[in-house]
Order: sequence, then structure tokens, then C-alpha cells
Amino acid sequence: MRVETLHLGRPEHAETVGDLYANHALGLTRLALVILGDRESAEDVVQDAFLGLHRRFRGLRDPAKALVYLRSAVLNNARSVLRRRRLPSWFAGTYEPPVWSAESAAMLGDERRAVMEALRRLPTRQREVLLLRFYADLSEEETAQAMGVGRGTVKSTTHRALGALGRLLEEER
Amino acid sequence: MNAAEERVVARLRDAAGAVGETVGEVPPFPEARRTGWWAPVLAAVTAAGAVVVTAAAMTVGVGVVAVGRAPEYFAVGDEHDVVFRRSDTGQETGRFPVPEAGLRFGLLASARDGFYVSASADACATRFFRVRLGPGGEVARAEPLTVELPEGTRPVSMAVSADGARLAYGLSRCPGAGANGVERLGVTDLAGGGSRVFASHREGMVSRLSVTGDGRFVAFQRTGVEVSLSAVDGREVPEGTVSAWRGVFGVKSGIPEVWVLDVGAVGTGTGGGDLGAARRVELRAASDVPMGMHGVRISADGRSFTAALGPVHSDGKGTGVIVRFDAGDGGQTEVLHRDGTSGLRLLGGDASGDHPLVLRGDEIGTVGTDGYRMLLRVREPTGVRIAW
Repeated sequence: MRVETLHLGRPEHAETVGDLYANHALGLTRLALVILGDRESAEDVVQDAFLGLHRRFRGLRDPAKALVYLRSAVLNNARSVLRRRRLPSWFAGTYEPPVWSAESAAMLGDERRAVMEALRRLPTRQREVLLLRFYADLSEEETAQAMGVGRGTVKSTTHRALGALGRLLEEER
Repeated sequence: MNAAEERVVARLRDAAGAVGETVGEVPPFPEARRTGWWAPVLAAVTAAGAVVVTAAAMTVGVGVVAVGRAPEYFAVGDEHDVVFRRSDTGQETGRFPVPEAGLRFGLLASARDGFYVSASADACATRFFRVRLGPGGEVARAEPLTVELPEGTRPVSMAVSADGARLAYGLSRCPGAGANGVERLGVTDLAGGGSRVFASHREGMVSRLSVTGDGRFVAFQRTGVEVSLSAVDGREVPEGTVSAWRGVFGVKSGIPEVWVLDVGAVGTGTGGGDLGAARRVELRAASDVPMGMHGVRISADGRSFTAALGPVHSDGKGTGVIVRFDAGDGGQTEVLHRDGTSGLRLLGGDASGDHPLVLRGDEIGTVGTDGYRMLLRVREPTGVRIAW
């Protein structure tokens, strides 16, 4: 049986969804994990992003921007998960994702746990911009595309976020 | 960027990198084995006709399950209370609040004789309680248990044998005690006293514990093991083979697996044990079962595993299949339930092993001879603590 592969546009951009998954799913899952704090949710949002890409790939104006689409989708899906977590649960109490939990401290060490807790206290946009710029190592332009904002916004948000994170870490001392 | 900002960035990179590296592999591409998924028309059907698909898919391929009656009560918990409810109506019948101010409940498990819950007041002082219910589901008795964990450790997963005689738990180091170190699994004889801790030479933790009825065998999954991606190779795919799909998508791992340890005798003076002696069982699903495992449990008699397979999307949708496997060779023996529209996660099961508890979107339910039955709806399904 031959599997039908999905080519994302012209031959020179003939990267399949499978290729993208093989090359980027792990990195995107790690990014989602850092944002969300638990692996299952991270895997879910990344797989959703790839499913969304598959459904929309023919409608992509520039198939070469599939990776931009994926990054944006991961961020949007992660925001949805975080919004749902803020809803009060009638029995389960406030959910504490494993990465931020006491268990994780044993794996990460106190210093890293403190950084992750401070990061979690930042506003969503500040947290995202820091992770895209300094964890995913995206340029300001790539970060702007992924977040759907202007490059100037990325620059100013980065500056504010670094200051805020620094202050939070100082409070920890 | 000034020097202070550079220091913050360095710390951020270090911490986020450490968190990210806890993921060494990703699941295979969603629903990769369903070749029909590739057809865009199916994607359109999924989006537009989900309700219609549900009715059809729910009745396809359902096997015969559930020998005895489902438990009469189940327990759901948060940090402050464990609430007991009737399984047929969801009505609350009892409540066990934390017995001391400052304590917070943690893990929850069940056996035929009651419910078991861990609690801690700080990062490294865990206590255990057993709660027995009266005939009306009210809390009849709650008692502390004598369980001595190795110094500097805390439980991160827990299971109880059906007779309530053995408590098994995965261990990690307490916060502030450095990196987690090697995998450790503890078993305590609740009836006669004494504990035994099994350790391996691998770094990481054991999770998703389940125990046979007599407490002799503990099944678990392992975390923290790095698996690298392989290069993408050929596209020629023999129908339904796992390894071929791994080749297409470049994921080296992805085959469902579970580990089983014979804990043997447990008691005062039995000493430690080697977790490395655990046996790995590869679960070999049929070609029409989608990949991706979300929970696995060993049966009470130790002869089979029940696992939830198939993709689960962030909105809860997906393709969930509850499958039974032979514990000896890992071969699929029975499909207990298929859900064509929602992903399923296996949360637990009763002492008989015949009534799995599953998370389906924002619902918690069970799978029986009459298919899926909802027990309750939750607003925050992630991290839910439930047992019956």
C-alpha cells in the first residue's frame, strides 16, 4: 500500500505534514510543555496543531509558512487550555500542572523551579514572548509572526517581560 | 540587553531547557494508521457531522466486558476533601476532609475494603489514610496507616492491591533534595508491616501504577527516559504495522509498553530489590486500533492488561479505544470499547479490574457490557483524582 503524502505547495516546498511532524513535533511539544506544565496537554495541543494544518494546508496562501502556522496554533491551543484551567471546578480544586508541582522540584532542582514559577506568574503575552525569543530562539520577526503581533510589540513586550521576570526572581531570594 | 537582563535570560534558558528535555519523544502522528484520515473529505465529515458519527461509531466493535457489578460508590478528591458519591446517581454520600489543618490530600486509590489517600503538610512528610464506607456510602471509619517511606522521598503515584493488603507507590526525591535520581518503587505490607523498595540504575520515575489482586505483581510505566528521533526513511508502508509507521514519521519509539515487577515477599527485613528485574511487555494492537496510549492497568488475576489507545486532542475529541492485551505476550485479545469521536484516558479501575474508569472529554465514565456510561461531568478534566 502506498501512503498518500501531503505536499505543502510547489515542488520546492514539497515538505509533507509527516516531514514537519518528524522535524518539529518534538520542539513544539517541549515549548508547549514549558507553557502548560504537563506533558499530556502539551502533546495534545501539538497534535491538534498538526491536525489543523492538515485540514487547512490547501488553503495556506504560502505553504512555506506552515511552520509559522504550527507555532501560532500551538500558542492558541495552549491559551485555550490555560483558559479552561482558570475555570473553577466543582470538585477538583485548582489544578496544578506537574511541572510546577512539588514533584517536579525533585526533578528540576530549586533554582529552576523558582524560575519556572516566576515565569508562570507573568502575563500570558510576556511569558510567550520570552519563551519564543529565548527558549525557542526565534527572531523578533518570527516571534511576531507566531504571536500575530507587530515586531515593535515583540520588542517592547520582551523588554517589559525581562524586567518583570527579574523582579520576580529577586523577590524569591 | 544589559547585564541583568542577560542573567535573567540565562536562567530562563537553563530552566526552560531542563523542563523541555524531560520530553524525549513524541507520540506518532495523530491517527496515522487510519489511512482514511488522509482523505480531506473525512476531515470535513469529522468537523461537520460529529454527532452523526458518534451514534454509529459507539456501537462498532464493542466486545463483551464486565463480569461483575460495577462498584456502588466512587471517590473524587481535591487537596481538601475526598467526596464519595453513588455510581448510579452521582449523589454525594460522604465526605472526608483533611484530618488536620495544613494537611493537603495527594494521591487517591481504592481496594475492596475502602479508599486510600495520601496527604502531606510539607514537601517531605507524607501520611496515608484508609477510609471505609458504611452501607449507605457514608464515611464509617478513617484511620492512619503505618507506611515508612525512605528518607527524603515522597510518593508520586500509588496503587493498592484488591484485598487492601499491599500498598505500592512510585517515589521521587523531595523538593530541595536535588535531582530525582534513579527510579524507585516501594511496596508496603499493610497487614503485617514492613516495606520493600526496588531501585533501578535508570534516572527517572515510575508512574501509573496498578497491582494484581494479590499484590504480587506491580505494573507501571517509566518516565524520564530519552528516546531520540530517527531519520525519516521510506514511504512504502505494509498495512497496519507499527514499525513501518514509525519509519514514515521518524519516531523511533511509540510502541505502547508496560513494565511488570514481581515484588515477591514483602515484610520486615525483606530488604531492597532490583527494579531492573521488571519485565517489559510490548502491547501489540491490531492494525485498526489507532496509536498513542493513555493509561494501562494490569488485571486482578495478572493475566491481562487494559489500555486506552488512540489520539486525544486538547478539546477532548479523538478516537478512543479500550483494548485488552494478553499479559504474557502482549498480543491484543479483545476490543472492549470504541469511541469514534472522543479520545479516552484510562484513569483507574475497580478491584476486580472489570470496570475501567475513563476520562472522555469533560466526562468521567466507565465501560461495561452496555458500552460507555458517564459517571460525572467535570469542568477541569486534567489532573482529576478519582477511584472506585
